Parts: sequence; structure tokens; C-alpha cells
Amino acid sequence: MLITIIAKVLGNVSKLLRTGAGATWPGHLICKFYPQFLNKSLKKFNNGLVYITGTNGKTTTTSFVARFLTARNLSVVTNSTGANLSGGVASSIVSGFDYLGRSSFCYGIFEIDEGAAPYFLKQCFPDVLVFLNLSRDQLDRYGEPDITLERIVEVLEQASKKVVVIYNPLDEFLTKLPKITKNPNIVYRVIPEEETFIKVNKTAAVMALEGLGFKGDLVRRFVENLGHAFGRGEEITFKNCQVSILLAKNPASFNANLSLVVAEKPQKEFTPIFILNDNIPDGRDVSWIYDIDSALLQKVCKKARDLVFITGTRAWDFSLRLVLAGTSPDSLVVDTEIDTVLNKATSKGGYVTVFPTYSAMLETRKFLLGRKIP
Amino acid sequence: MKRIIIGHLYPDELNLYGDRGNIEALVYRGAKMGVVLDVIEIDSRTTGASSLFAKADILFMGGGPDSLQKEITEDFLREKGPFVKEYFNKGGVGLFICGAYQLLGKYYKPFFGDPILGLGIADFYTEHLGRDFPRCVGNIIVDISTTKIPTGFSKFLVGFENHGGRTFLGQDLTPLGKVVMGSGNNGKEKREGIFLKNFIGTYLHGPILPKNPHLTDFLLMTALRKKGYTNRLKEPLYDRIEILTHQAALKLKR
Repeated sequence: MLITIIAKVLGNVSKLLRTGAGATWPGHLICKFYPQFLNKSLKKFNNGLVYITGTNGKTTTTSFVARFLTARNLSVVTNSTGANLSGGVASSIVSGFDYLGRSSFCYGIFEIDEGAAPYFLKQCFPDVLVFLNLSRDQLDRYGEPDITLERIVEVLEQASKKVVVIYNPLDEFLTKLPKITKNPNIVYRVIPEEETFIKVNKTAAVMALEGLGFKGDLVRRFVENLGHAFGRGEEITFKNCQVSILLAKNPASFNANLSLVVAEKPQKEFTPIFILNDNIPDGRDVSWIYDIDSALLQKVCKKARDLVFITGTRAWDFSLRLVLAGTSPDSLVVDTEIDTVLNKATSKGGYVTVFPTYSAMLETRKFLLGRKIP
Repeated sequence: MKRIIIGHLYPDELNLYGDRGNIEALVYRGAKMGVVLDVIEIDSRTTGASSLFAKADILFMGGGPDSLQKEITEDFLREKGPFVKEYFNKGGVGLFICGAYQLLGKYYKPFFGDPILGLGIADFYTEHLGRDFPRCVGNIIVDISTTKIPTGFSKFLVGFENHGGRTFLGQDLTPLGKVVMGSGNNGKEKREGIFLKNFIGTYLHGPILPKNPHLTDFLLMTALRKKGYTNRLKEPLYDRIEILTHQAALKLKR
């Protein structure tokens, strides 16, 4: 396990240098030199291994499950920053080792990118798989939701041990899940209908913990009182601004977050910032911005004190989107440099709400907090 | 008041790539021309399609996921298809994206199974080379200087493509344009889309119209002229943001 120790040391050096502790390169490094790393280490989570996948709500649900276990002083390895591909998961496992290459793994609670789910299932079947939803996100990476689902089902069919699959039967793609699997080792549990996203995530977390043998009532009481996860509705004080970050990475999460802002009572000094990036973690295709509800976009822009700020690698696309939704071009400040725009938008104080895609969320936090991850 | 009617085919099923944005762009540019646009949605539940197609000035059909595409294919070919064909033959204006473009052809040959017949409005077909064969995915730029779309503002179309099928045009057919960056119809011939009478079939989404206002205007102007509105017809000025978005897209990497 020498490589694990080296990766851990390097990871900590990187933390000290503040290059961002959420860096996934220690994990990439270990997977490169020791390809069996994930396969071997995932099998060590004897008390419980949980994968949480889907398009929206993975990070939040994962944090609910992990926080319950941590609060009970159980040893948990989790990818709390939303780095949900092999490098990210491997990095979080590496940080669970001590410098002698020893680990005291109990529980592994990982959010898994839906496109990477087949890969992870092949490495090790979890005790519980939470499948939250499947929508049209990052089509350029995975093709269509049908294909993503098909690939996951193909691997699930090979499970030789019991896997509890918790899924949302109201999801247009997931609804057919029990019908297309024949493997008797797959046990389905259905997430009941809830009013809001956050409630669905909480219920899914409770069900996952029940799947690991914890008592439902106990878990429910704990989870109900939990707040936001990393970059999902967190509030940061910057200069004399109250900045909230509402991750908006696809039409569903965008609409949900716009509705939140619309429903809030009017704030006189409100400034919205939209950040659209097209890096790999965001999806290179930005067509989805036209599936955002135009009326909601306009309502949020109308709440602005005066200007609406737009930035990110595809800032121009988003500004055109706002114009077609009925926002006046004169009220828009467009600049592809994120730092410049964050500086300008926060210069007058007041309430600033940032709607970033995933990589833009990381950049925003880095700018506001001086580093990527606390 | 000038009035244009858009027939939007299967808006709920075929809206994989923000295709409704195309309707928003038509409405936006139309308003600048002083034209009011009405949208009629046509899907499997629509009856009396013949009168709707007779009214439409622009037909629009987007791309959908495979499963929904399959769901509408039968209704499209049997119920709506004959009207679409008649509309096409009369020189009606149409924009068909991705899967809808493929459906206009002779057939679509999946990797497994029998070919699915298309509407066959012209001699072209699409073939899928298998799930593990790389899809054509990425930003795309198409040169339209040799087609009859006015290029006063830009001789390019910009967008994003994402398709597994490869489309092959018969010898006499004209593509929408020449691929400058990207795959286009099949990745080999450097040709993208099809331009047939007043029908455009293309793999470009993004969606295609907002960032290519010259194409939007071309569709609107052709429809207006066809309807007999020839008096004082002029393309409106482009917004600064429309131009800058188009230009920013020309600089994107594949």
C-alpha cells in the first residue's frame, strides 16, 4: 500500500498549499498506478457500502446519510465535495488511510455520477443503491437517459449478493426499473411522493440508513433537522454582502432554485448572478438552458435592484437566453471572467444570489472563501 | 397586423435539447418584424390534423430520446406524415432537428434489428453503427455561403451536435452547409443537414435559432413572402447580444 501513503502525503501537501483539498488527483494517481485500488478498497466497507446516484440531489442525500453516521461516531468515508467519478471516490478513500497505510473502514457512503455507476457497480456491489432520478443532464457525455439506465441495469443483472435499490417510481425513466430487471438479488424499495426536492432527499437518506439496519424513527428525527450540503444553498458573508449559492446545473435544479428566490419576500438590495460554464463536469452542451422556465427567469431578473450579472465560459449564451425570456439587454452585465463579475456584483453590498453550474460553483467558493473547499 | 402560424410537432415528446428555444427565437425575431406568431401544438392526441397543416406557415419538429422517438414514429408516419409531405411539396417552410431530420429520410437503420421506415420526402437515409461506435458530439460550425440563406450577418451557423446515426444524402441533394468544425451528417463528407425546397433538416441544436438569427429571419421571411406579405418586408437589425453570442460560439473548441 506504499502508493496509498504517497498519494495521501501528496494530498495533504496540496491541502497545505491550498490548491483545493477537493483535488481529485491523488485518486487519479492511485487509480493509474494501482488499477485494482477501487475494486479492493470498496470491498472493505464491511459495515455498509452505499452508492447514491441520479441526476439531482446526490450530494445532499449523501451528506444526510454520512452526517447521521458521523454523529454516531462511526467511521465513515464519503466524497462530501461532490467529486463523484473514480478519481474523486479514490481520493476520499485515500484520505481515510493513515500514514502506515492502515484504515479503519466501517461505512462507505459515496455519491456516484450516473454515467460512472456501471463502472462502480462492476468494482463492487453496494448494500444499498439509491437511484434518485434520471433526467436529461449532460447528454453530450452519456447520450440519452435510456442508455444510461440500460447500462446500469446490465450490471445490476449480474449482482450475486443482495442489493437494496431505493428509487423514485415517479421518475419518468426510473418507473420501469423493476420491470426491466430479473435478478432476484435486487430488492426494490420505493421512495414515497414528497412535496419538495429536499424532502425526497431526506426520505431517500432515511431509507438508505434503514437499508443498513438503522431504525427508521431514530434516523428520521436526526435527518429532519439537517441543513444544506456543500454549495447547495449555503450562505457566505463576503465584503458587506450576504451571498447565497444555489447550484443550478440543469433545468430541474434551476427551476427549483429560481422558485425559491421568487417565493422569498422582496429584498430591496437583491443582485442575481448567473454563471454558465461548459467544462466537462458541467456538460459541454448548454442547450438545456432553454428548458429553464422563462417566466421564472424573468421574475428573478425583475427582482434585481438594478443589474443582472452573467458570467462563465458561456456567459453570452446565458445572456441571450435571458433576452429571449424577456429581460431587457440594457440591464445585463456580461463578462466571461468570473472573478471580475463577482467583484463587481458584490461591490454595492446587499443580497447576492449566485446560480452557478457545478464547476462555476467551485470557482465561486474559491473566490469567496479564498480556496475551493473548507 | 402580419400573422404567422407555427405548427410545433410533438412538443412534449421531442424536446431533448432545449428545442422550445427555437420557438422563442422565432417569436422574438418575429416581434421585431411586427409579426405576431401563433403556435399550434400537434401531437398524437391531435385530431383533424389536415386543417392544422393547411393553416401552418412554419413547421417545427425537435429531437427526442430514442424511447419517445419510437413512441411517436407510428403516429407521425401514419397520421401526420402524409400532411407533412403535402405541405413540403407545396413549398411550406419547415425546420427539423436531429431525430426529426432523420425521420424525413427514407429509413433509419439501427445497429440491431430492421430498418425503420421514414417519411421518404427525398433520397437520403441514416444508419446507426452501434452503441460502442463514438457518437458525433461537440460544438459544430457550418459554412452556409453556398446555400441560399442570406449571410449578411455571418456566413456560418453555430451549434452543438450529438447524434449516433450517420446520415447519407443522395447525389442530387443539397446539404444545409459545409462543415468547418465537427462531424455533420456522417463525419466523412464534411456536409451538414439538408436543404430541400423550403425544408431544413439539421443535427444542430444549441438550440439552433437563437444564436443564428439570420437563419431565424430566413425562415420567417420565406414564410411571410409565401403568405403574400411582400409589402415593405425588411429584416430587422440584430441585437448586440445576438451577434456577440454567435461570435463567441465561433471561437469555441470542438
